[in-house]
Amino acid sequence: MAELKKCIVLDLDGTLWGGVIGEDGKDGILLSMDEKGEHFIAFQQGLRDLHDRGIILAINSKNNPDDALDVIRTHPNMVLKEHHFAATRINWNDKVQNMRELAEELNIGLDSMVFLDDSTLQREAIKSALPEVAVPEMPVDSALYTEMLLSLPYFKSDVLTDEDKMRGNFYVTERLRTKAETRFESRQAFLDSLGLAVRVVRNDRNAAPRIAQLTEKTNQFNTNKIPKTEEEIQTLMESPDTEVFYAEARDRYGDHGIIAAALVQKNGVVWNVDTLLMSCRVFERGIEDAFVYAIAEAAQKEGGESLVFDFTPTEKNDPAKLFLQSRTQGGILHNADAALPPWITIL
Amino acid sequence: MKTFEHIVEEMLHIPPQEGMDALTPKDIPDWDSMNYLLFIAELEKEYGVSFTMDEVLSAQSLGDVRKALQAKGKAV
Repeated sequence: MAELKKCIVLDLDGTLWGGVIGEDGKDGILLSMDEKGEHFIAFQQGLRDLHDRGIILAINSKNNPDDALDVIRTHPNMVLKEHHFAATRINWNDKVQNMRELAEELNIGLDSMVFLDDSTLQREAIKSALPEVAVPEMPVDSALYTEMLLSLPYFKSDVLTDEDKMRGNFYVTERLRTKAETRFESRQAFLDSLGLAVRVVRNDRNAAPRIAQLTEKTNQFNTNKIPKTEEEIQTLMESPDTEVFYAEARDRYGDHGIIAAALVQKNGVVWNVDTLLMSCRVFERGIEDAFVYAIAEAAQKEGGESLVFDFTPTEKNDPAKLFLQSRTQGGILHNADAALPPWITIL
Repeated sequence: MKTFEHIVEEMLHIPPQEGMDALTPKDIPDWDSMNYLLFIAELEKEYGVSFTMDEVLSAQSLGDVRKALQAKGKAV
Protein backbone atom coordinates (compact mmCIF):
# COMPACT_ATOMS: atom_id res chain seq x y z
CA MET A 1 0.00 0.00 0.00
CA ALA A 2 1.34 3.40 -0.99
CA GLU A 3 1.69 6.07 1.64
CA LEU A 4 -1.46 8.12 2.09
CA LYS A 5 -1.44 11.68 0.75
CA LYS A 6 -3.18 14.79 2.03
CA CYS A 7 -3.20 17.16 -0.90
CA ILE A 8 -3.63 17.20 -4.67
CA VAL A 9 -1.95 20.04 -6.53
CA LEU A 10 -3.51 20.72 -9.89
CA ASP A 11 -2.52 22.34 -13.12
CA LEU A 12 -5.35 24.18 -14.96
CA ASP A 13 -5.04 24.26 -18.80
CA GLY A 14 -5.31 20.75 -20.18
CA THR A 15 -5.92 19.35 -16.71
CA LEU A 16 -9.07 20.89 -15.19
CA TRP A 17 -10.34 22.02 -18.60
CA GLY A 18 -9.29 21.43 -22.18
CA GLY A 19 -7.41 24.05 -24.14
CA VAL A 20 -5.50 27.10 -23.01
CA ILE A 21 -7.36 29.95 -21.33
CA GLY A 22 -4.81 32.57 -22.40
CA GLU A 23 -5.32 31.67 -26.07
CA ASP A 24 -8.79 30.18 -26.36
CA GLY A 25 -10.60 32.49 -23.93
CA LYS A 26 -13.35 31.55 -21.50
CA ASP A 27 -15.76 30.59 -24.28
CA GLY A 28 -13.15 28.58 -26.14
CA ILE A 29 -11.85 26.25 -23.44
CA LEU A 30 -13.26 22.72 -23.39
CA LEU A 31 -15.63 22.36 -20.47
CA SER A 32 -18.88 21.68 -22.25
CA MET A 33 -21.36 18.83 -21.96
CA ASP A 34 -20.17 17.12 -25.13
CA GLU A 35 -17.48 14.62 -26.03
CA LYS A 36 -14.81 17.30 -25.94
CA GLY A 37 -15.57 18.74 -22.53
CA GLU A 38 -17.46 16.07 -20.59
CA HIS A 39 -14.40 14.25 -19.30
CA PHE A 40 -13.02 17.39 -17.70
CA ILE A 41 -16.35 17.91 -15.92
CA ALA A 42 -16.29 14.29 -14.71
CA PHE A 43 -12.68 14.69 -13.57
CA GLN A 44 -13.59 17.81 -11.59
CA GLN A 45 -16.43 15.90 -9.91
CA GLY A 46 -14.01 13.13 -8.93
CA LEU A 47 -11.71 15.74 -7.37
CA ARG A 48 -14.65 17.34 -5.60
CA ASP A 49 -15.59 13.97 -4.08
CA LEU A 50 -12.03 13.67 -2.75
CA HIS A 51 -12.27 17.20 -1.37
CA ASP A 52 -15.50 16.20 0.40
CA ARG A 53 -13.61 13.30 1.97
CA GLY A 54 -11.00 15.65 3.39
CA ILE A 55 -8.33 15.82 0.69
CA ILE A 56 -6.88 19.32 0.24
CA LEU A 57 -6.96 20.73 -3.30
CA ALA A 58 -4.51 23.38 -4.53
CA ILE A 59 -3.58 24.97 -7.86
CA ASN A 60 -0.15 25.32 -9.43
CA SER A 61 -0.57 26.85 -12.88
CA LYS A 62 1.34 28.98 -15.33
CA ASN A 63 -1.30 31.50 -16.24
CA ASN A 64 -2.47 35.05 -16.01
CA PRO A 65 -4.27 34.87 -12.64
CA ASP A 66 -7.13 37.13 -13.74
CA ASP A 67 -7.97 34.91 -16.73
CA ALA A 68 -7.84 31.71 -14.69
CA LEU A 69 -9.79 33.07 -11.72
CA ASP A 70 -12.46 34.39 -14.06
CA VAL A 71 -13.03 30.85 -15.36
CA ILE A 72 -13.09 29.39 -11.86
CA ARG A 73 -15.53 32.03 -10.62
CA THR A 74 -17.88 32.33 -13.55
CA HIS A 75 -17.72 29.38 -15.94
CA PRO A 76 -21.14 27.67 -15.68
CA ASN A 77 -19.73 24.14 -15.90
CA MET A 78 -16.97 24.50 -13.30
CA VAL A 79 -17.79 21.82 -10.74
CA LEU A 80 -14.85 22.96 -8.61
CA LYS A 81 -15.40 26.40 -7.12
CA GLU A 82 -12.92 28.83 -5.68
CA HIS A 83 -13.67 27.70 -2.13
CA HIS A 84 -12.60 24.13 -2.93
CA PHE A 85 -8.99 25.27 -3.33
CA ALA A 86 -7.10 25.80 -0.09
CA ALA A 87 -4.18 27.57 -1.78
CA THR A 88 -3.34 28.72 -5.29
CA ARG A 89 -0.23 29.66 -7.22
CA ILE A 90 -1.35 31.03 -10.56
CA ASN A 91 1.62 32.92 -11.97
CA TRP A 92 4.54 32.65 -14.39
CA ASN A 93 7.00 31.40 -11.80
CA ASP A 94 8.77 28.08 -11.78
CA LYS A 95 6.34 25.32 -10.76
CA VAL A 96 8.95 23.76 -8.49
CA GLN A 97 9.17 26.99 -6.52
CA ASN A 98 5.37 27.18 -6.46
CA MET A 99 5.20 23.64 -5.03
CA ARG A 100 7.57 24.53 -2.21
CA GLU A 101 5.51 27.61 -1.39
CA LEU A 102 2.24 25.65 -1.43
CA ALA A 103 3.67 23.07 0.98
CA GLU A 104 4.75 25.87 3.28
CA GLU A 105 1.47 27.77 3.07
CA LEU A 106 -0.58 24.62 3.71
CA ASN A 107 1.87 23.51 6.38
CA ILE A 108 2.20 19.98 4.99
CA GLY A 109 5.20 18.02 3.78
CA LEU A 110 6.03 17.65 0.11
CA ASP A 111 5.70 13.92 0.70
CA SER A 112 1.97 14.46 1.40
CA MET A 113 1.38 15.97 -2.02
CA VAL A 114 0.27 14.58 -5.37
CA PHE A 115 0.90 16.67 -8.50
CA LEU A 116 -1.43 16.33 -11.50
CA ASP A 117 -0.41 18.07 -14.70
CA ASP A 118 -1.03 17.07 -18.33
CA SER A 119 2.41 18.38 -19.34
CA THR A 120 5.12 15.71 -19.35
CA LEU A 121 7.73 18.45 -19.13
CA GLN A 122 6.25 19.90 -15.94
CA ARG A 123 5.84 16.46 -14.39
CA GLU A 124 9.47 15.63 -15.09
CA ALA A 125 10.58 18.97 -13.63
CA ILE A 126 8.73 18.28 -10.37
CA LYS A 127 9.88 14.65 -10.23
CA SER A 128 13.54 15.52 -10.57
CA ALA A 129 13.57 18.56 -8.28
CA LEU A 130 11.14 17.25 -5.65
CA PRO A 131 11.29 13.44 -5.58
CA GLU A 132 9.10 13.34 -2.42
CA VAL A 133 6.08 14.54 -4.41
CA ALA A 134 3.95 11.80 -6.00
CA VAL A 135 3.64 12.53 -9.73
CA PRO A 136 1.36 10.04 -11.50
CA GLU A 137 1.37 9.79 -15.29
CA MET A 138 -1.59 11.60 -16.82
CA PRO A 139 -3.29 9.75 -19.70
CA VAL A 140 -2.89 11.48 -23.06
CA ASP A 141 -6.63 11.00 -23.64
CA SER A 142 -8.65 13.16 -21.23
CA ALA A 143 -11.44 10.55 -21.40
CA LEU A 144 -9.26 8.46 -19.08
CA TYR A 145 -8.52 11.16 -16.47
CA THR A 146 -11.28 10.10 -14.07
CA GLU A 147 -10.32 6.42 -14.21
CA MET A 148 -6.73 7.41 -13.50
CA LEU A 149 -7.86 9.50 -10.50
CA LEU A 150 -10.08 6.72 -9.12
CA SER A 151 -7.25 4.22 -9.36
CA LEU A 152 -4.66 6.28 -7.44
CA PRO A 153 -3.59 4.38 -4.30
CA TYR A 154 -3.00 7.48 -2.18
CA PHE A 155 -6.39 8.07 -0.58
CA LYS A 156 -8.39 6.10 1.98
CA SER A 157 -11.62 5.02 0.43
CA ASP A 158 -14.06 6.10 3.11
CA VAL A 159 -17.56 4.84 2.60
CA LEU A 160 -19.86 7.74 1.87
CA THR A 161 -23.31 7.83 3.45
CA ASP A 162 -24.12 11.52 3.05
CA GLU A 163 -27.01 11.60 0.58
CA ASP A 164 -26.45 15.28 -0.27
CA LYS A 165 -22.91 14.64 -1.39
CA MET A 166 -23.89 11.53 -3.29
CA ARG A 167 -26.66 13.48 -5.00
CA GLY A 168 -24.20 16.12 -6.22
CA ASN A 169 -22.01 13.45 -7.75
CA PHE A 170 -25.05 11.73 -9.24
CA TYR A 171 -26.40 14.88 -10.92
CA VAL A 172 -23.10 15.71 -12.54
CA THR A 173 -21.92 12.26 -13.65
CA GLU A 174 -25.33 10.94 -14.61
CA ARG A 175 -26.09 14.00 -16.74
CA LEU A 176 -22.85 13.36 -18.58
CA ARG A 177 -23.86 9.73 -19.13
CA THR A 178 -27.37 10.67 -20.28
CA LYS A 179 -25.92 13.14 -22.77
CA ALA A 180 -23.28 10.70 -23.94
CA GLU A 181 -25.82 7.96 -24.52
CA THR A 182 -27.56 10.07 -27.17
CA ARG A 183 -24.37 9.93 -29.26
CA PHE A 184 -24.50 6.13 -29.52
CA GLU A 185 -26.72 4.23 -31.88
CA SER A 186 -27.70 1.66 -29.30
CA ARG A 187 -27.87 1.19 -25.57
CA GLN A 188 -25.41 -1.67 -25.95
CA ALA A 189 -22.85 0.49 -27.76
CA PHE A 190 -23.17 3.03 -24.94
CA LEU A 191 -22.69 0.33 -22.27
CA ASP A 192 -19.65 -1.00 -24.12
CA SER A 193 -18.10 2.49 -24.03
CA LEU A 194 -18.55 3.02 -20.29
CA GLY A 195 -15.64 0.96 -18.98
CA LEU A 196 -17.89 -0.28 -16.18
CA ALA A 197 -16.06 -1.94 -13.29
CA VAL A 198 -17.66 -3.61 -10.26
CA ARG A 199 -15.98 -4.58 -7.00
CA VAL A 200 -17.69 -7.05 -4.71
CA VAL A 201 -16.73 -7.09 -1.05
CA ARG A 202 -17.77 -9.35 1.78
CA ASN A 203 -18.38 -8.57 5.48
CA ASP A 204 -16.69 -5.16 5.53
CA ARG A 205 -17.69 -3.45 8.78
CA ASN A 206 -16.84 -0.02 7.41
CA ALA A 207 -19.67 -0.38 4.94
CA ALA A 208 -22.32 -1.32 7.52
CA PRO A 209 -23.84 2.20 7.75
CA ARG A 210 -24.25 2.45 3.99
CA ILE A 211 -25.68 -1.07 3.68
CA ALA A 212 -28.17 -0.34 6.49
CA GLN A 213 -29.15 2.84 4.65
CA LEU A 214 -29.74 0.86 1.45
CA THR A 215 -31.96 -1.66 3.24
CA GLU A 216 -34.12 1.22 4.44
CA LYS A 217 -34.32 3.21 1.24
CA THR A 218 -34.31 0.75 -1.62
CA ASN A 219 -37.84 0.04 -2.80
CA GLN A 220 -37.72 -1.00 -6.45
CA PHE A 221 -34.88 -3.44 -6.93
CA ASN A 222 -35.27 -5.15 -3.58
CA THR A 223 -36.29 -8.78 -3.36
CA ASN A 224 -37.22 -8.58 0.29
CA LYS A 225 -37.50 -5.22 1.95
CA ILE A 226 -36.48 -5.63 5.59
CA PRO A 227 -34.90 -2.45 6.96
CA LYS A 228 -31.87 -3.29 9.08
CA THR A 229 -29.89 -1.22 11.53
CA GLU A 230 -26.16 -0.81 11.35
CA GLU A 231 -25.80 -3.14 14.36
CA GLU A 232 -27.94 -5.83 12.75
CA ILE A 233 -25.81 -5.68 9.61
CA GLN A 234 -22.67 -6.01 11.73
CA THR A 235 -24.11 -9.03 13.53
CA LEU A 236 -24.82 -10.70 10.17
CA MET A 237 -21.25 -9.95 9.13
CA GLU A 238 -19.81 -11.56 12.23
CA SER A 239 -21.94 -14.68 12.23
CA PRO A 240 -20.25 -17.70 10.58
CA ASP A 241 -23.50 -18.77 8.86
CA THR A 242 -24.35 -15.47 7.21
CA GLU A 243 -22.55 -13.27 4.73
CA VAL A 244 -23.11 -9.64 3.79
CA PHE A 245 -21.95 -8.77 0.30
CA TYR A 246 -21.89 -5.36 -1.27
CA ALA A 247 -21.00 -4.08 -4.72
CA GLU A 248 -19.50 -0.77 -5.69
CA ALA A 249 -19.33 0.37 -9.27
CA ARG A 250 -17.41 2.90 -11.28
CA ASP A 251 -17.04 3.86 -14.91
CA ARG A 252 -15.18 6.47 -16.89
CA TYR A 253 -17.55 9.20 -15.70
CA GLY A 254 -17.04 8.48 -12.03
CA ASP A 255 -17.58 6.49 -8.92
CA HIS A 256 -21.07 5.32 -7.93
CA GLY A 257 -19.92 4.13 -4.53
CA ILE A 258 -21.78 1.27 -2.87
CA ILE A 259 -24.94 0.62 -4.88
CA ALA A 260 -25.93 -2.99 -4.19
CA ALA A 261 -26.05 -5.39 -1.27
CA ALA A 262 -27.01 -8.99 -0.52
CA LEU A 263 -27.75 -10.70 2.77
CA VAL A 264 -26.97 -14.39 2.46
CA GLN A 265 -27.47 -17.46 4.68
CA LYS A 266 -25.19 -20.38 4.01
CA ASN A 267 -26.94 -23.74 4.23
CA GLY A 268 -24.41 -26.21 2.88
CA VAL A 269 -24.69 -26.52 -0.88
CA VAL A 270 -27.51 -23.99 -0.95
CA TRP A 271 -26.87 -20.34 -0.26
CA ASN A 272 -30.06 -18.54 0.59
CA VAL A 273 -30.17 -14.92 -0.57
CA ASP A 274 -32.60 -13.39 1.92
CA THR A 275 -32.31 -9.94 0.39
CA LEU A 276 -30.83 -8.76 -2.89
CA LEU A 277 -31.07 -5.03 -3.49
CA MET A 278 -29.66 -2.41 -5.84
CA SER A 279 -30.03 1.35 -6.01
CA CYS A 280 -32.20 2.70 -8.85
CA ARG A 281 -29.27 4.95 -9.76
CA VAL A 282 -27.62 2.13 -11.68
CA PHE A 283 -30.55 0.29 -13.26
CA GLU A 284 -30.24 -1.34 -16.66
CA ARG A 285 -26.48 -1.66 -16.89
CA GLY A 286 -26.03 -5.30 -15.94
CA ILE A 287 -24.55 -4.45 -12.53
CA GLU A 288 -27.05 -6.77 -10.83
CA ASP A 289 -25.84 -9.63 -13.05
CA ALA A 290 -22.21 -8.91 -12.26
CA PHE A 291 -23.02 -8.80 -8.54
CA VAL A 292 -24.93 -12.10 -8.56
CA TYR A 293 -22.16 -13.64 -10.68
CA ALA A 294 -19.57 -12.68 -8.06
CA ILE A 295 -21.70 -14.08 -5.22
CA ALA A 296 -22.25 -17.34 -7.14
CA GLU A 297 -18.52 -17.57 -7.73
CA ALA A 298 -17.80 -17.06 -4.03
CA ALA A 299 -20.39 -19.72 -3.16
CA GLN A 300 -18.93 -22.15 -5.65
CA LYS A 301 -15.46 -21.76 -4.15
CA GLU A 302 -16.89 -22.85 -0.81
CA GLY A 303 -18.74 -25.84 -2.18
CA GLY A 304 -22.08 -24.14 -2.80
CA GLU A 305 -24.11 -25.38 -5.76
CA SER A 306 -26.92 -22.90 -6.03
CA LEU A 307 -28.33 -19.60 -4.86
CA VAL A 308 -31.94 -19.52 -3.73
CA PHE A 309 -33.58 -16.12 -3.68
CA ASP A 310 -36.35 -15.14 -1.29
CA PHE A 311 -38.94 -12.80 -2.72
CA THR A 312 -41.69 -10.80 -1.07
CA PRO A 313 -43.78 -8.75 -3.49
CA THR A 314 -44.53 -5.10 -2.71
CA GLU A 315 -46.23 -2.32 -4.66
CA LYS A 316 -42.90 -1.08 -5.95
CA ASN A 317 -40.53 -4.00 -6.34
CA ASP A 318 -41.40 -5.16 -9.86
CA PRO A 319 -37.81 -4.58 -11.06
CA ALA A 320 -36.59 -7.20 -8.57
CA LYS A 321 -39.39 -9.58 -9.58
CA LEU A 322 -38.55 -9.24 -13.27
CA PHE A 323 -34.91 -9.92 -12.55
CA LEU A 324 -35.68 -13.14 -10.67
CA GLN A 325 -38.15 -14.23 -13.35
CA SER A 326 -35.67 -13.81 -16.15
CA ARG A 327 -32.47 -15.00 -14.45
CA THR A 328 -33.60 -17.79 -12.14
CA GLN A 329 -35.88 -20.78 -12.25
CA GLY A 330 -38.47 -20.12 -9.60
CA GLY A 331 -35.89 -18.26 -7.52
CA ILE A 332 -33.14 -20.88 -7.96
CA LEU A 333 -29.91 -20.18 -9.77
CA HIS A 334 -27.27 -22.85 -10.26
CA ASN A 335 -23.96 -21.20 -9.57
CA ALA A 336 -22.48 -22.51 -12.79
CA ASP A 337 -25.25 -20.75 -14.77
CA ALA A 338 -24.46 -17.26 -13.45
CA ALA A 339 -23.01 -15.09 -16.23
CA LEU A 340 -20.91 -11.95 -16.19
CA PRO A 341 -21.99 -9.36 -18.78
CA PRO A 342 -19.04 -8.97 -21.18
CA TRP A 343 -18.99 -5.15 -20.85
CA ILE A 344 -18.30 -5.32 -17.09
CA THR A 345 -14.98 -6.01 -15.37
CA ILE A 346 -14.89 -7.44 -11.85
CA LEU A 347 -12.15 -5.72 -9.86
CA MET B 1 -45.02 20.74 -28.72
CA LYS B 2 -45.34 19.79 -25.08
CA THR B 3 -45.69 22.66 -22.61
CA PHE B 4 -43.59 23.05 -19.48
CA GLU B 5 -46.65 21.98 -17.46
CA HIS B 6 -47.08 18.85 -19.57
CA ILE B 7 -43.47 17.85 -19.07
CA VAL B 8 -43.79 18.43 -15.32
CA GLU B 9 -46.88 16.23 -15.29
CA GLU B 10 -45.24 13.53 -17.36
CA MET B 11 -41.89 13.36 -15.57
CA LEU B 12 -42.71 14.38 -11.99
CA HIS B 13 -46.28 13.07 -11.91
CA ILE B 14 -48.19 16.11 -10.63
CA PRO B 15 -51.11 17.78 -12.44
CA PRO B 16 -50.83 21.39 -13.63
CA GLN B 17 -51.91 23.65 -10.78
CA GLU B 18 -51.98 27.18 -9.44
CA GLY B 19 -48.77 28.23 -7.75
CA MET B 20 -46.80 25.25 -9.03
CA ASP B 21 -43.66 27.36 -9.47
CA ALA B 22 -43.26 27.45 -5.71
CA LEU B 23 -43.14 23.64 -5.46
CA THR B 24 -39.87 22.07 -4.30
CA PRO B 25 -38.62 18.48 -4.07
CA LYS B 26 -40.23 18.33 -0.61
CA ASP B 27 -43.67 19.01 -2.12
CA ILE B 28 -43.38 16.59 -5.03
CA PRO B 29 -43.01 12.96 -3.92
CA ASP B 30 -41.56 11.78 -7.24
CA TRP B 31 -38.96 14.57 -7.49
CA ASP B 32 -36.03 12.32 -6.65
CA SER B 33 -32.55 12.40 -8.14
CA MET B 34 -33.43 10.13 -11.02
CA ASN B 35 -36.74 11.73 -12.05
CA TYR B 36 -35.29 15.20 -11.78
CA LEU B 37 -32.53 14.26 -14.22
CA LEU B 38 -35.04 12.70 -16.62
CA PHE B 39 -37.17 15.86 -16.30
CA ILE B 40 -34.18 18.06 -17.16
CA ALA B 41 -33.24 15.80 -20.10
CA GLU B 42 -36.81 15.98 -21.43
CA LEU B 43 -36.86 19.80 -21.20
CA GLU B 44 -33.54 19.95 -23.03
CA LYS B 45 -34.90 17.75 -25.78
CA GLU B 46 -38.26 19.53 -26.17
CA TYR B 47 -36.84 23.05 -26.09
CA GLY B 48 -33.55 22.32 -27.83
CA VAL B 49 -31.52 23.87 -25.00
CA SER B 50 -28.70 22.73 -22.76
CA PHE B 51 -28.68 23.55 -19.07
CA THR B 52 -25.38 24.28 -17.36
CA MET B 53 -24.23 22.30 -14.33
CA ASP B 54 -24.93 25.34 -12.16
CA GLU B 55 -28.50 25.65 -13.36
CA VAL B 56 -29.23 22.00 -12.69
CA LEU B 57 -27.53 21.94 -9.31
CA SER B 58 -28.90 25.20 -7.98
CA ALA B 59 -32.60 24.93 -8.92
CA GLN B 60 -34.59 24.79 -5.68
CA SER B 61 -38.11 24.86 -7.13
CA LEU B 62 -40.05 24.39 -10.38
CA GLY B 63 -39.97 28.18 -10.71
CA ASP B 64 -36.16 28.13 -10.75
CA VAL B 65 -36.20 25.60 -13.58
CA ARG B 66 -38.72 27.72 -15.49
CA LYS B 67 -36.57 30.83 -14.96
CA ALA B 68 -33.52 29.02 -16.33
CA LEU B 69 -35.51 28.19 -19.47
CA GLN B 70 -36.71 31.78 -19.76
CA ALA B 71 -33.12 32.98 -19.47
CA LYS B 72 -32.43 30.95 -22.61
CA GLY B 73 -35.10 32.94 -24.45
CA LYS B 74 -37.85 30.34 -24.14
CA ALA B 75 -41.37 31.63 -23.48
CA VAL B 76 -42.60 29.17 -20.87
